[in-house]
Amino acid sequence: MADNQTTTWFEDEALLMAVVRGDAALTTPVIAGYRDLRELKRGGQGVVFVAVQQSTNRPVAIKLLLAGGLATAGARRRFEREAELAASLRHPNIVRIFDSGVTGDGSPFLVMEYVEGGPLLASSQKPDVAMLRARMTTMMKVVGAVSHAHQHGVLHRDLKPGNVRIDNTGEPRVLDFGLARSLGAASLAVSASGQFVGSLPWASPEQLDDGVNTDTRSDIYALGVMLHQLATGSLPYDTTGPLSAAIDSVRHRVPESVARINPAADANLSTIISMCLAKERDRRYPSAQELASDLEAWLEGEPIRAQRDSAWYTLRRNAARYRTIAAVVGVAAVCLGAASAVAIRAASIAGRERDAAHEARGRAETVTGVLTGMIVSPDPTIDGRDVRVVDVLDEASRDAGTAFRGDASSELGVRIALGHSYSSLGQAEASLREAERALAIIEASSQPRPEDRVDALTIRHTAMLEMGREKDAVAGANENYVFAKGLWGDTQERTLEARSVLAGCLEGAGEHAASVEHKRAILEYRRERGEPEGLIIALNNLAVSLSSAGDLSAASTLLAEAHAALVESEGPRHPNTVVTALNLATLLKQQGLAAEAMPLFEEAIAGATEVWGPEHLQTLSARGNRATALTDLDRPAEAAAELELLLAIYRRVAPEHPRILNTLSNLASAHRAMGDLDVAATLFEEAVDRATVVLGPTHRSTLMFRGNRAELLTTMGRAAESAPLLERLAEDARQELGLDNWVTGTMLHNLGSARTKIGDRAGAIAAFTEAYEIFTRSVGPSHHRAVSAAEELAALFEADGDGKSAEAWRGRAVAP
Amino acid sequence: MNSHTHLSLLVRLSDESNGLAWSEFWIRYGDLIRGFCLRRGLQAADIEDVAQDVMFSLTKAMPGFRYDPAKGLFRSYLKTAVVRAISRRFGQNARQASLGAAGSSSVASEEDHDTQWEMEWRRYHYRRAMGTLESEFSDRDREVFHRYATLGQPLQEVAADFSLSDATIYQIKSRVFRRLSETIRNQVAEEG
Repeated sequence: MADNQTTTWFEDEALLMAVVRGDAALTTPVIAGYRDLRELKRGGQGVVFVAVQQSTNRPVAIKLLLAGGLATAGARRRFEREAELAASLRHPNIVRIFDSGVTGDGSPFLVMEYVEGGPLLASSQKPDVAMLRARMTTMMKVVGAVSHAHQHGVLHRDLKPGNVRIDNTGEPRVLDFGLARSLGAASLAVSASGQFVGSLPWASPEQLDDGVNTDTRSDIYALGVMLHQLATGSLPYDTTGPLSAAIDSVRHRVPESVARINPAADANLSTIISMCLAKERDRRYPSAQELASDLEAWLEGEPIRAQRDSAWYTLRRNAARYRTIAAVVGVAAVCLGAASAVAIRAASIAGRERDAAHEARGRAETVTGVLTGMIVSPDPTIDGRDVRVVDVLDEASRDAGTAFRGDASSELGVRIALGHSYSSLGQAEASLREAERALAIIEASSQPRPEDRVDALTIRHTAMLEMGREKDAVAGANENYVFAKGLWGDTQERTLEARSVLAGCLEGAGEHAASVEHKRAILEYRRERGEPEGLIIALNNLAVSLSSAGDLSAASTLLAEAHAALVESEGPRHPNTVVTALNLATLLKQQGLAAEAMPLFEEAIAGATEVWGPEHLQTLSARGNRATALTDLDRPAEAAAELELLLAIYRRVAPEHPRILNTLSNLASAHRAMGDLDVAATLFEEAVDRATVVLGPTHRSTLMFRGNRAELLTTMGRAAESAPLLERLAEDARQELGLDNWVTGTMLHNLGSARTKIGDRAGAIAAFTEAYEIFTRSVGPSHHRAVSAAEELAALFEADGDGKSAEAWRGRAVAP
Repeated sequence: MNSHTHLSLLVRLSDESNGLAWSEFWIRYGDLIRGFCLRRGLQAADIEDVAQDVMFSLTKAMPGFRYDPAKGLFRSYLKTAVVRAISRRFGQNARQASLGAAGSSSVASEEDHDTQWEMEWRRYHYRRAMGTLESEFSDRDREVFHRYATLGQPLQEVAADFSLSDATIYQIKSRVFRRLSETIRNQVAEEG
């Protein structure tokens, strides 16, 4: 056909109308008993006609489903059965099915009530309070319809706004119950291998997994998505874009809370919707009836019943983001200056305070509603009040006793939730207190749930770990882990959490090898599950263990991975990103890579300043670490100036904080690098004295300070004083840190130097040899520490006239 | 870029992991492909198979597909894909017995590919345009158009049923027709 004919057919009335009429004839089925079929609309599943039922002259809708769907007799039977079931539903909010059948060419059709009216969701604007109530009232009826269907054994499987019409009296009418399964080629199935998606935004995680194993709770999930849409005007996740990303969002992303997106909604409504959208089915409403009840309760302003489970679930899910990442205990080499121990705590205190103020302003009455709202909701505008999060929690803790009198199970949930909240704010004592209360309730109950016991114990051990009582917690943590593993296996979230706490306790109790083993296993499971949050935390935790054990380069590899992942998923200003950047920078510095570490320090400090403020302990810690790197880079004057500033701030805001010790020690190192040895010696003295009192004489930090001081004495020519100090130090290090720890090696190295100075060559050789062995084991023979020890030994043997040994050691002193 | 234009759909399709674009494509062209197969005389079950085959062969071709207007019209490209899919399944003489489906027009097996494809293509554009216009016209106006223009019921009868004057009926019809024509023109233009 010539081109000009094809381009003008639609401008020619006769030709265009021929197409119109041809289409009408072609696509209008002839179905006995119905006349005047007229196409209404077309969708992925098929075509909907309006028609007149001949026997009654009433209008009906006829849905003609895609041709070819029911080629086999089996498919036809299945369709008929499903249609019968659906036809048996009688409910004011369900569109009735009158009849079903199959046309001559195998196309199934359904005859339904004809509902004139409009769509459920007409605009994507955020509803105001009045509109929100109206919509929720409508949804309550929709849920009631779904509940009715469930009670009659019919799942919907394809709930979405397109399947709900609002009729001319304003009542919602739900369409298309129960037909999804028999339609085959229709729009539901999703797979990465090429089947097509129609209803992905409303598909539950389990539907995406295999689509087969769905139950009433899949419908509830879809209702949750609809509720979210109606409350905010948008979908909970972005499902445009690549399919794999969309599926990943549904599976893993926790949706923003509704109250956050639309201020017209409150924490209770967020709770209800979150409970529908839970990834794990067990965490959703068990029935549509309960959802309907809670919606009704919300509309009436009464307490909702979902809060306990919901709060717990949401907190666990979101608390993971803020979970404590174990401390990287950075203990610096004596020669290079002491780096500070970096304690990594939870997220933005500032942010939390704002959240709490928002919640305090608009919050509903129940305690857990506050908690959930607090953790789940974000940036609000404060109306002038400055409410601290901790105050809110304290109030909640006080209320919980009375508010839930007689309802032990709710109180238990609140206590557990509070335990988590306090923990993520770094309030270990309060967390422990809540855990103990929770355990008391559990003990007193006749049928305690094992999940609750494991959760409460995990919180308790975490708190003890954070309070430095790891040794007390180890036995209990082990028991808890074994128990959880027995019940749920190693891959379950609770078991992983219990195991993680166990590993932390083992680490603190000095059992590094066992700790590393657990952490490696946890990391592997996290990798398998592909959950970025859990993976990042596991990476960090293992890095901590490895760095404590002296395997800095392995630790920094893991942290680099975690850092990259965090920058990607959370951005550079997220607390966890900042903390990880800081840890990584510290590790690099400890490996002598100060130049590489600097940009990361800068990044961490900028981030910390923004997230926590310039005088927050975390920010100060970052600045302190950076200062030590400055010393390494031969900029000690800058380092000293910065450290003086930090010292002044610490004395003002946290005079008892152990971090002061590190700062003193670092300042001393800086002065030392500038050649002010007397100043340095004085500062080290002060640090050692303080540390001995505050931490104990054999605490690793104290050991470091003692080492720094002794080494300085050696440098000042007072080796006679330093040698005996170093001997004791080396012994303490062997005991306390072990023979696989490079810090012990460093002590021995310094002892060797001191002995050399006082002429005790044999003793020096012994010390350096042992140091070399330890370095080789812990950081490798080509590490600069090992090389340095080898060089010293070569020089000593040379001086002794033992050329052969000297040569042998020179051979080992080859730097990479 | 309006994500519903034809070109942008093609662009999105060339991102092979974009399942949603494929879904749209399927919904949009599925009927066209099926309608053509029906005209060619295929059985209902076979139609589904062929349609899947076409989509599959397109998915293989699509990644990296760069629509080049100089290389010919997209609809020709699609037609070739469909014709090939049919002949792969049924050989060159795909003349199955006519379905005699209730309501379907007789399949003119003497028509050649081009004509049938062209017919289906026009139907596809018409249906799309009607879909777009659904929200623009009230139920009443569409009903009027359907009965008067499409079904050809007498002017006075339609006017009486709707309690409107003849002139109004005529105006409604003209307006719908004009919009239909404009909408299809835009669709065809963007298609390339």
